[in-house]
Amino acid sequence: MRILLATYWLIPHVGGVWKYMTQIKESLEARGHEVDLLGNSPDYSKFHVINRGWEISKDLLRPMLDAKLNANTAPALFSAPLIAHYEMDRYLLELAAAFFGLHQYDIIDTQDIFAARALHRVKPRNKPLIAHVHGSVSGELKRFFQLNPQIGIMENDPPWKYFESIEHYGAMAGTPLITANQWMRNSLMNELQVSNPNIQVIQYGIDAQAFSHKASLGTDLRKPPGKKVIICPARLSFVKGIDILISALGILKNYRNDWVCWIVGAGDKREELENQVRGLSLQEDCLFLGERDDVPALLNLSDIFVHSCIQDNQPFSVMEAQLAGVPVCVSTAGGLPEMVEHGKTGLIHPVKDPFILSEHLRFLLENEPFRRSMSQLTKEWATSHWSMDLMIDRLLEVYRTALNQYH
Amino acid sequence: MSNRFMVASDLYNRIFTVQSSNPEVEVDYVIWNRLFALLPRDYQLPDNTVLSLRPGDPKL
Repeated sequence: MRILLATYWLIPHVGGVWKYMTQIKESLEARGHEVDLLGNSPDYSKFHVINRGWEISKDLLRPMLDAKLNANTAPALFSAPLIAHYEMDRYLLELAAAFFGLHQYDIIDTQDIFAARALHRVKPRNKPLIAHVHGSVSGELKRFFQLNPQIGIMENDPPWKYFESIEHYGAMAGTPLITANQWMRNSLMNELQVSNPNIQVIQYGIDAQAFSHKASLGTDLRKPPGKKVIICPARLSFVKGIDILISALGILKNYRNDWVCWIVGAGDKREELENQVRGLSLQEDCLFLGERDDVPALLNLSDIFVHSCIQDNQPFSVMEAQLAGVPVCVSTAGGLPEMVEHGKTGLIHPVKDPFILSEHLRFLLENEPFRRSMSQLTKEWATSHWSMDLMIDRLLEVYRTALNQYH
Repeated sequence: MSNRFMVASDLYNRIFTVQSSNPEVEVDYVIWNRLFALLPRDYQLPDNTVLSLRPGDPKL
């Protein structure tokens, strides 16, 4: 099969969607299929099929749109700058995708709701479109608007309703629509009234061999003697809830100090989090390692993994920790509870609750036999549950069913 | 000197829901002819379905 994986977002990028796209491409090509990757260029100046070197500059398309679409001819489009911005770029994606020629593909597989709506509008009628939803765009933006009232976008304002609308129609475009968990599926159905009768749940997979190989490359970091390592690899942004972990560590220190915490990642919250660490006198215990490419090796040195986020779908970081056999402590946010069987393959604390999280950390530190047993169980479970082969088998079945329906 | 062949943008008005005349705007013939050959016949800009919000919601 010739398959197009398409996204509205820029490629390449640091993040789960690009990681997912490249892993899918590699796995499908290992089985003899051809896979192209379409997305925005990193500087947003063009759309490109990155693996082919095909590109079209937006400057060749935009003059037409700028001339024909304005506040007189398209008042709804220009009712808010944010709407015009996202819509115009989506129309440029539509034109770019059509220009590259969608007829050459057997399957179109979009990776976000903007791309789903866009390619639905320009694809040949007999071409199957599978739509993946990896997160809720409207959910994340609404949270952003609520946390930043100075932007001035309130509930039921046009931009607020616009993101609900594009997410609804993007989700309706897929036959089928694929989510990684029931949480996202239910969220789309209940909050966005997505009545798509064809929603399938296929959890993500990890290439265990590649992960093992990367872990075997080692790290220049050493485990502090006599200390257990609590690791948190995550982007340092509000939604990742690292402040909750730091609060939990502040509580934990009252009981035990035979641990150190490695916070691995970069982001706009770093200074704030470092201030929080200083405020709790945790400078010797809680270390910011920055962005690193040896996380698999760091996991091998770690005893406990924490993901205390406010919202997340199905983070690769948790999957990798489980594959490495590191007991995970995750919050009840989003799709996380579906990744862990509490007490067996990890521990789940209520979202934004540093007290319960500290209790879980203390329990794991105090009970080494239990921690080791959980480690073994988690690794065995993760090896089969997060199997890349299983995910690809299921994805190919979806592709074949979709092709049969159209022919 | 550019070797692009430029033509009047008005030639491609049919994809716009509300058509306007912009004789001063020229576009690349090769690109837009290819697009017109490959876009669905009923393709329209803007996307009024999305812009009118979900069914049952107040219009913008």
